[in-house]
Amino acid sequence: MPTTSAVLRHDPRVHLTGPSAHDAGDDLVALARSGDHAAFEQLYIAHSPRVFALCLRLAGGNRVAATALLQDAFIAAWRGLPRFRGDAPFTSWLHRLAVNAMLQNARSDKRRSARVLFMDDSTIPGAESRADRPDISMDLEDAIARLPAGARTAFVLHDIEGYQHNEIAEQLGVAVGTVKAQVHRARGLLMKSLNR
Amino acid sequence: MSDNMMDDARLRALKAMADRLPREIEPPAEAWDAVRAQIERDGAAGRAPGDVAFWQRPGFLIAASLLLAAGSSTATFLALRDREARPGTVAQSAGPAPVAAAGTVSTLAQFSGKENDYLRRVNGLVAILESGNAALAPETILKVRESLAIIDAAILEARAALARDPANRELIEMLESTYEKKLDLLQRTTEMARS
Repeated sequence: MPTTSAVLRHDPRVHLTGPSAHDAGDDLVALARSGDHAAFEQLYIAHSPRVFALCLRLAGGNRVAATALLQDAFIAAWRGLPRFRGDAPFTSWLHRLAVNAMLQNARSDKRRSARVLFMDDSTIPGAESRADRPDISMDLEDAIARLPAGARTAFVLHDIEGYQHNEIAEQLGVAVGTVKAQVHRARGLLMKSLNR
Repeated sequence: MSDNMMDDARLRALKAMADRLPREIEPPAEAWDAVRAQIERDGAAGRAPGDVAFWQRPGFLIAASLLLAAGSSTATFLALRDREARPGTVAQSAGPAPVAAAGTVSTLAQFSGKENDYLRRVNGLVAILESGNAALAPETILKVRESLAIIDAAILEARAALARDPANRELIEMLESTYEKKLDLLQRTTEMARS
């Protein structure tokens, strides 16, 4: 039988692949909730690419800001684990924390806050011709990054992450109609940008 | 093609492009370092256990030790404030007090000697478990840690209540009973690990 220390370093449940992946993830959450750093690191390894993709898009393609959001989200997750009851998937909870981190950063920075609340239908500055950019995905990523923050957040959460309008409204603390308008606005700006 | 049909086609194309965007992007390798450093600082501040002290919930144990050994006014104040916010939690967490468990001890000051003895015995058992020579299944480790967390929470809450009412004999009995439970758990775990 391994020693207690070795058990933690080589806990077989840290592997998230295979038919028991869900149970393994639940076990990791339980271990992390009890304060296990190694289990929490495994959760980070498993979930950080997904969360970072969200953070990168919310941050308008700024990797430094996205990394800060990712770190804020996981630190918040660590601190909030005792309150996590598993009612929703762990990854959904992480996404919510990432969005909260983005909102908190915006609130703590008036300049960024102004960007989040920016409602003017300005055109996307600096959009390059698609003919010059053969990678369509990169074009879309760039166009999303250049969206006004409010429209970008709504588009990323709705059209990429698949959240419902009411879910987004609840988390952002705005009316459902506002979210719908921002998604509509984002789509319009993106189509305009991508067809230039 | 009408404008509406064209808009629909463009919207579908946009959604198709959005669907093709990668859902996972690797973060910078060093990103975890800052997270780990912060949660370790949290652990040092009493939030969570460190990598080495996995047997305990140091968040509770460190705070309990501080309370018991030094009578930290800050920790007592925080615990007391917490109790005021949640009346009745002591009784709920610690359960019924044992009959005559405290013997002749009737005040917190008189109980302090016993507390030091409990702490010394607890620390000795924890040191054995942390030594790396004990062997237990991960499931057992998890169960023990969860049980320790509950017991430590009860100790903290009893101490918090006693800080307000140091002569409350029922609370002293409750605290002593909780220490006994903790010792019993650690002793049984140590024996299990050695077998």
